[in-house]
Amino acid sequence: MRSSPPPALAVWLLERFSGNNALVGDLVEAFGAQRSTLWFWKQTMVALLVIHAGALLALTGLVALFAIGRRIAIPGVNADALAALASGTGGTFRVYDVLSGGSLARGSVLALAIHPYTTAATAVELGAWLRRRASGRITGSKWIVRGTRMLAIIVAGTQALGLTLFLERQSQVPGGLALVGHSGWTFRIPAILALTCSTLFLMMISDRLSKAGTANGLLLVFAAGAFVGLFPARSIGVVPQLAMNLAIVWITSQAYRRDLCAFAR
Amino acid sequence: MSRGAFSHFELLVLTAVVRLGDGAYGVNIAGEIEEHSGRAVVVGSVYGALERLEGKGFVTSRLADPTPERGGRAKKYFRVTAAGLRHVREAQRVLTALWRRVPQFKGGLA
Repeated sequence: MRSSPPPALAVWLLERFSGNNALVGDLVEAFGAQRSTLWFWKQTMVALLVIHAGALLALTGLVALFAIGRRIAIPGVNADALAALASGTGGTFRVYDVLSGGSLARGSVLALAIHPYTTAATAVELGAWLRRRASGRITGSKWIVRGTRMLAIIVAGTQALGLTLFLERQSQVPGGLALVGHSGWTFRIPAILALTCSTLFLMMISDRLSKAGTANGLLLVFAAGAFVGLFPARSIGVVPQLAMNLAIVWITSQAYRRDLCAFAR
Repeated sequence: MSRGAFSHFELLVLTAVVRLGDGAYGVNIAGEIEEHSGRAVVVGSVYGALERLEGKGFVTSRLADPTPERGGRAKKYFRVTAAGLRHVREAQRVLTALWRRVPQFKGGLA
């Protein structure tokens, strides 16, 4: 038996991120039986990779989804005009743009990102907490889940309406570009549907990841959006844009065909 | 893939659990596979396989008392179930039957 302890940082990483106390104990025991420090580090890193492989894979997929999705413009919006308008702004708009994966400034269908869901989750949790404080009654998790989803749809619809109205009223675009081709409900309804459905799609992915135990889905979707938002998007040609639009429509339709009914329950 | 199917690595882990009996846990399962395959095995991967096998009902686990040499952490012992044993036997039967029909393997040649 050796007297020196295993690398403290590696043990901390395992304890913090493996969620498996027996594994940590096994590695500490094997290290005590003359295994090297290099062996311990290798075991630690590979174990963490194996344990979180699903989350890493999901995160990669979500980053790709945001990178592609932010290039798909809201129907009726001139993305170039919006980008020109956004280039002169900063502060809150820029922060929100980063968190939406750079989708807001490009007038993308993912402009609302997962934020309606996080807003709804915060509001419902707060409501449940206040109810417990006031009356001592505990709100069931089933009602919290249902309430969060319903409120998220309402928030997404409201934010989508607000965004479409905001876009319609912008007249100070540099270069005199028209931001919205044709104002009115013929623009608003498809735009609101596209924005709300995109958020529902992200909510569905988030729920599936959480349900599968892969990771905290909400956090993963949020992180992927924020990560993509740090990198500016480049314009691509019409044909790749069209191909990506068709691919997204197909993927979304497949996903919804299989899961929307289950999701709505 | 059906619920009963398992990967090559899961079969190795399950066979090692059968071989080690009541004393099977992460480190000695990894050691058993290392000894017979000649390749380094990551204990984390063994736990990943054990978790999947437990989900399929092929092994069960129990926690022992914490010990000082493990930094006060409990040891998790694994044991094969009747269903697990049946699947190991079935895998052995299928593989042996297939090998018998491979001309290169006749006479014990690899």
